[in-house]
Amino acid sequence: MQVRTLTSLASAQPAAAPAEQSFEQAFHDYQAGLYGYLLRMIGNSDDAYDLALASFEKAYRSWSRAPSGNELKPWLYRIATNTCIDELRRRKLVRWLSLDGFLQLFHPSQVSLENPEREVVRNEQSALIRSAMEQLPERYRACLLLRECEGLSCEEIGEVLGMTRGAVKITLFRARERLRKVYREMGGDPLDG
Amino acid sequence: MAEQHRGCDLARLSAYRDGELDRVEQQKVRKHLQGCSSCRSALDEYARLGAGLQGGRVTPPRMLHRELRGRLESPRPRPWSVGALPGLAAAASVALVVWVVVGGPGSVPLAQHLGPAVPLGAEPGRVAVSSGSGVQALDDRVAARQRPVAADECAEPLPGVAVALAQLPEVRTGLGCATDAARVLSLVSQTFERGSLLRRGDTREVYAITEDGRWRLYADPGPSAQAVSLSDAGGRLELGNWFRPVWSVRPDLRPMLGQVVESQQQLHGLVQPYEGGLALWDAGGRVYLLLDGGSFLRYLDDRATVRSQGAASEGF
Repeated sequence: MQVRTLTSLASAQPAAAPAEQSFEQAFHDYQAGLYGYLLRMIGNSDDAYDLALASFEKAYRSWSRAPSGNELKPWLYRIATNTCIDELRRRKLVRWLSLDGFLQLFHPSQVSLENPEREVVRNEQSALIRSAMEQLPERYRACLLLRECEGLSCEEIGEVLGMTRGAVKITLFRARERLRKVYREMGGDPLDG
Repeated sequence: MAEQHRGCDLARLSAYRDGELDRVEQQKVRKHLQGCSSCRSALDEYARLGAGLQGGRVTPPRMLHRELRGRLESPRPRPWSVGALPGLAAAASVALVVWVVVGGPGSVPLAQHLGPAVPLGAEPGRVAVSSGSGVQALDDRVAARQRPVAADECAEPLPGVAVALAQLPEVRTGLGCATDAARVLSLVSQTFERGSLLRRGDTREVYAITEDGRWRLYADPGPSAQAVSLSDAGGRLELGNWFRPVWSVRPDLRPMLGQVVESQQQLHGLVQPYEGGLALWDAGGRVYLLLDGGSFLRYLDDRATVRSQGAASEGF
């Protein structure tokens, strides 16, 4: 039985794959990173899955325009970021925070300072940090995640977000300061060493 | 607002963390860090926040590849709208932190928007009423709400509001206690790019709730107002019929709200006045807390047990 691969599907699409790398190879190279990035942006696995699906599908349809080499990763992340930000903005308008989420926002899960389990404290801190992230504008969020979690350089982030390198540096600074502020206002404990 | 330590440059510190400084600048920063505990602490905090974002390793579901292959084999390209994909619809109950605190370019702490009620006669920038009688009626209601309310005079708050009042000091401070029982009313709402319109059937008033964090009040001029073209609101969806009159007399609404995003919805709901504002609850469980200071909060009361008592007497 012949197993169809994504590359073999090129016949269904007039676009030609870049010579250096097939789409299937790119999918396998970047699916984990892209999915993780989208998960951190959107906040839940179901939606991250749908966004990853949409992003890769879009990339495949545009594969004839895909750059090669080091430029491929920023190109893929740009597609994913735009897809995600569009969805976040749409939800901003039509989705509502539940009452529990509303209450939790202003009274995040309380960590007992007497709890000797530092790992529990760290996990709670991480959860609070991620909650605080949700308060940031999408661009700030994307900048921070691309830098801190995906390891993209400022120049690469600029390619993803359509910004200059200088603008990315400023945005990263502002995002970090905003995150610090929101984290503290949400009751975050001083980040322990 | 960034903290400013004397002689310190946090922006440069951030660039240092990202490896964006040349060798000379890096050395300067390293030397500065040796003698500045505040900057060392800030740099460490940046690192901890970054680590907190990473969390554990994430593995995508295995079926991602299989489902992608299936989609790509489809003869027709699928629309890009993520909303068209399965899974998102099923995840509609998942709460996202969106636009709870007043909107705008970024989040703003709740406390900053629960200021004291704007005194009468002041320019609140929050009310725009298109008829003189509307202004007087509104002022009377605001004045009535601003009478000090004795504790034993507080009415029973709506359940969805009671929880927020009980658990969030900021809401308690801003909203105060209920000054009257909740009443049934008809509500019409429509969502736009940058906000929403809400029409009360009892008072025939229209609230514009916008991303700039403000709510504004307009009197509905009624159907005699000049009709607007259905395409005036732009977008693929029509401006709801209940909002066309006010839209026609308030040209500022279009730039304020942007294009229509959702169709008009008509629901029954409840309204309740508070010392510091107003609570609106619709049969979909959506709660709006409109504070006299001009700011608002909104959330979905998914614990709603209060239901509309029946057809509203006020009608539309």
